Amino acid sequence: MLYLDYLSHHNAFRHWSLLEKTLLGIGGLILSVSMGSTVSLILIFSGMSALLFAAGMPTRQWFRLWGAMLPFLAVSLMTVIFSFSRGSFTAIWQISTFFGQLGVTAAGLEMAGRLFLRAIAALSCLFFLAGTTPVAHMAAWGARVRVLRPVLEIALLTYRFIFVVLETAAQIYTAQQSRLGYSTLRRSMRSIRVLAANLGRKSFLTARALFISLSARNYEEQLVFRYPQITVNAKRLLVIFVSLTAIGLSGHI
Amino acid sequence: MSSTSVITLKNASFGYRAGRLALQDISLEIPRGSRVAFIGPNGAGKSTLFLHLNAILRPTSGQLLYEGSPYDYSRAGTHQLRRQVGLVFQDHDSQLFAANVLDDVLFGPMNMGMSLARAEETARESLSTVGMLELADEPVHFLSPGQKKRVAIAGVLAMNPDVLVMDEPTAGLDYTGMVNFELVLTALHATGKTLIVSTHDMDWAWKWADLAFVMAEGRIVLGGEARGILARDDHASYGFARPCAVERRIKE
Repeated sequence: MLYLDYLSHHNAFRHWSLLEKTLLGIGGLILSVSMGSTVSLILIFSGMSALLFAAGMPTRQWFRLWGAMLPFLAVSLMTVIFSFSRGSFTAIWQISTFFGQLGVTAAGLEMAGRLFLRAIAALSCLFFLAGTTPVAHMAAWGARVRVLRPVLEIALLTYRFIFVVLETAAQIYTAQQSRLGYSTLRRSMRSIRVLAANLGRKSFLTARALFISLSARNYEEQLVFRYPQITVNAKRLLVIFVSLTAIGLSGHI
Repeated sequence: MSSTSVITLKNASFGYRAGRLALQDISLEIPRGSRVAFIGPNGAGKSTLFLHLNAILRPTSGQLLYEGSPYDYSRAGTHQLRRQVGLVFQDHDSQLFAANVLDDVLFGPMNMGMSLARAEETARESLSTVGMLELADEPVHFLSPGQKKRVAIAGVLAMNPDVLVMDEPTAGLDYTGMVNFELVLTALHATGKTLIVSTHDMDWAWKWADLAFVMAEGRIVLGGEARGILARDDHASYGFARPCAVERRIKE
């Protein structure tokens, strides 16, 4: 995830306009969620992954990213793959338990496969967007809608302080590790508890220090959103639109 | 150096809680265009004093004056004061709040009422002064501590203050960071700005400061020409070490 953030600032598409990248990312996401065609979903997944590689994503980082996502996906799919019934049902494989029959049905497998494809297609769109567009640029774009500004201000501050908290957590963890804080399971549990408690305290102190430092620069409860001035490339926009339309139509063939 | 005082404190005291004074009866004058070092042990009151200079805190008794006029703590008054007296915090991570360097630096100018284009221009000039213009679009969390320190200074410089107050700016800087930081200070001093820092680095204070004030338990216990203060024989009783240059000279 941290690599995605790094890539968002140092990628080959940083000179693409937000409109182009958002149309591609969000357009792909909408198609992934709304379409059931296997071909379309595979096209979206492979297309977005290819774009992410073209943006500069190293293969190793790409696998690590998916490695972090797949366990969550696998847990979700389990509930679809396995069926449970008190009575009997037709299954490819089943087992009797004290509470009833637990099994895997052909319909369940098919639905899980489709859901899996849909999920990886949608995630690949989000990865593309997150890996090519800095959070601050997306916030600046959203802040054009006035009512969204307060929410986006909080989101931006949160984004910045995630890194401060991560750094603090790493320092505390190292300090604990150097004094055998993680030498046994019991000590590890205690160390994690202390780490979490101290992070909370640190966050509170940081928030207070932040308010003082903002006041020192005449903070008036409004942050700055700077929208990057990048011209939309009409030709590229057209290519994106045509590609998405073609993928959309492929689902109906 | 001009002898005109830019900031004056008259018997200023401040207490965070009843019964315990963080600043006690502080009187001093900061000459315009001078380089001033505040030294003293942790908890001596240096940071609290600096928050007073920027009008974040207000003394419970006594007075602060800017160019001979008492500090005005009204909303408009504090705005004006914070444009004139910029404060760079010790912990750069609590000062740098924006997602990228340029956004953070243009925060002050925007609060001064500049248009975005003008603020951006000012911010770029400040970043250029501290040698960070090339990293203007870089996210803050990718910077080294020395770079963050320079961005924090640029954020205050962009408001073009006459007085720049820096809380332990040399803390945690490596050799290169220190060299770059000294270059920035030299450039700022050449423009006539008054520079006030707190530091535990006596060798650096010896080399850099015109004036030094020693604080202990919320009081100014010594003050005057920096080299005279730092070379005192009774330095240990005031809680600071003598600079190496002085020690070497005594041994020789």
